[in-house]
Amino acid sequence: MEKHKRGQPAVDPPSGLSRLPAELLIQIFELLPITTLESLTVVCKRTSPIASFILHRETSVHTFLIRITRSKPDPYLKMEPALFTEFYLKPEETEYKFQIGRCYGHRLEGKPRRIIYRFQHEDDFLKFSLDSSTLFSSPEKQSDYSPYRTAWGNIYWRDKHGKLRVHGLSAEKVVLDFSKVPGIDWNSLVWGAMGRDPERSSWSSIILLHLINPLMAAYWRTGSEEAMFKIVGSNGNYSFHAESQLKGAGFFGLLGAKLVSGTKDGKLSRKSEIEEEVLENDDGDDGEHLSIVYNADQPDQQWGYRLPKTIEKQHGLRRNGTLRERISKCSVKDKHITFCHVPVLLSSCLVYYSDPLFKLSSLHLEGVQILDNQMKRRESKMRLLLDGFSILLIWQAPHLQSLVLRNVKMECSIARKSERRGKSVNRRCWDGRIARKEWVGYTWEVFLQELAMYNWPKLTHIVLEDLLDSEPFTYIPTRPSKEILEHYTTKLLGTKGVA
Amino acid sequence: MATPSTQATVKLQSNDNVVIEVERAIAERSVLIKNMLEDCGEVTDAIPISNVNESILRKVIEWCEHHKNDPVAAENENDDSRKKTTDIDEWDQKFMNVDQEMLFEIILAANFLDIKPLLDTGCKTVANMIKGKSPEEIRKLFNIQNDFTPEEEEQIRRENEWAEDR
Repeated sequence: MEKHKRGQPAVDPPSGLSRLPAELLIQIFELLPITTLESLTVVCKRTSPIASFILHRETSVHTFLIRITRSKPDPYLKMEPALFTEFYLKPEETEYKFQIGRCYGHRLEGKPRRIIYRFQHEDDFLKFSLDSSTLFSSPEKQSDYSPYRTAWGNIYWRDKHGKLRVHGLSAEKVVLDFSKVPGIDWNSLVWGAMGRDPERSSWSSIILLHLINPLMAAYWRTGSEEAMFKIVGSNGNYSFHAESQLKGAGFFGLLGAKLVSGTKDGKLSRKSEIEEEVLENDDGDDGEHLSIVYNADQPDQQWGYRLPKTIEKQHGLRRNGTLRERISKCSVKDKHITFCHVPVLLSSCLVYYSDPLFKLSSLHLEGVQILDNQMKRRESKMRLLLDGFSILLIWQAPHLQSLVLRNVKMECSIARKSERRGKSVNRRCWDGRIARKEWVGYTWEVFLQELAMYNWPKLTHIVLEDLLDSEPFTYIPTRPSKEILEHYTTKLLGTKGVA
Repeated sequence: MATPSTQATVKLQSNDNVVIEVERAIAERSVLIKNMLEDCGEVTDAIPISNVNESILRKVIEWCEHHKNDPVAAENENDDSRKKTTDIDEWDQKFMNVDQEMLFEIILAANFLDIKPLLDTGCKTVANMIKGKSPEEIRKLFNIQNDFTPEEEEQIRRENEWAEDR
């Protein structure tokens, strides 16, 4: 049989799927999730137009203009939906939320499954100074709220006035496209949100806390808790998505952002839903899947960033005034580090990981930097609030079936040797030399050693590739050897079925 | 219009000239046959089912026999079938557990005979097979040739890159 050449009509008889008439293909494709439809657009010339047609039909696109209005007395961030009235957002005010259920009205009669928000900017945006913490003041009078009532139809609301109307939207995918807005990228979004100090406030953190976060919360609360969010940064090279049945909670954690006020209850009720789901599937192998894949189109391009103060806190590096200064010199505060991994707080993603009803069956991490691999627990003297990555996984040892860790960097994590021995040391005697002597780093090898102490009865698929350690205090990345990774891969798979 | 028939069975003739006799109630799961019988009244000759061969016709009849007592769905029933993709009856799942060639033939037969529930089940089965797969996996699954030129493929990817994840 003559070999088929790409771009030429197929010489073989058409496959079964391709033989179906278009109306049947439409009927089948209509049953598919958005991501699969996106796949079908590049499968072949037969499926492509049909999948594109359905995608187009199921997609709602909204374009906004973002600019700073320097009005007196309160300058504010102003967003203008392209076709509707102006949308005002004063970033210090956290009560505003989108009313998502209405935003499809102008484009579709039904409910879109893929919703795209495109943001653009005006030049004035770039001139905005980040230094002033007085730029955003909360509205004091009721009349200050008025723009929100009429803007963009009913697209957002304030729940304290009872404006919330819940619409079951069932969005599957929400794309926030900031590619036309300079300064909004992953770097600034993630770190901007973590560095909450006013002087470090940036437009990215404002956008995150007052636009992305309420947007996600609104979707989450209006029947789209399964929605995948994709955020495209301004340089266009980085995209990111997290996928899990806990997408909502995961994203809040990933972005280091807290839920907007009033959503705590939502979080709790989400938990009860999880219990129901798990109970329903209790006899099966189904569990939660978490996949965090960070794709950089230019993997060689590393971006530098200054660690915000809160990260130092998370590392326990800031203890008291004296130490703070000394550590900051020898460790992170005034240093630029380079990395090409998106920082992730896994304990926030898997907020229910220690719940006996929570079952994680698949974990895929790629291109991420794990920040919460601390070895201390809540009760520790140093008040480190995060559990270690290994502990998070060990909780799931009875359920985990697939573990993929590829191009993952373990953020430098340290534990004091002396505290491990139950002793104390003079914290004032701090310099790099003593630090190396008194503190030990936490590496992938330690992590894997810990995992290997447990049985993994269901683990059948494990990939450990390109793992990076971060040397304590120097932040020079090192790698565990291939032999070590192969050794532990075999060892972990070998525990299957061991009592 | 012809008077309603009291005929208990009807004969169906496949495109390979095999005649199969079935209960009228079973045959009438097909809207096509039902309309034909209503229009023609008593039919003694075998009804030619020109697009369906014997094995597929027997398979379709098997399905109709099993579902002969199912209520007929309303014409404009508004079902959000997207959410029920995996929601296939256990018996139907086993019924559809056939090779791809037969599966697509059943779908085409159900479409031709206008048996909507069978068509829905077939479509859901195919949708479940495709669901969650990458382009390459879909090609492999259905033996589809990638007939895009690299330039065309690149163009599609570029146009949709910002929104899509494959």
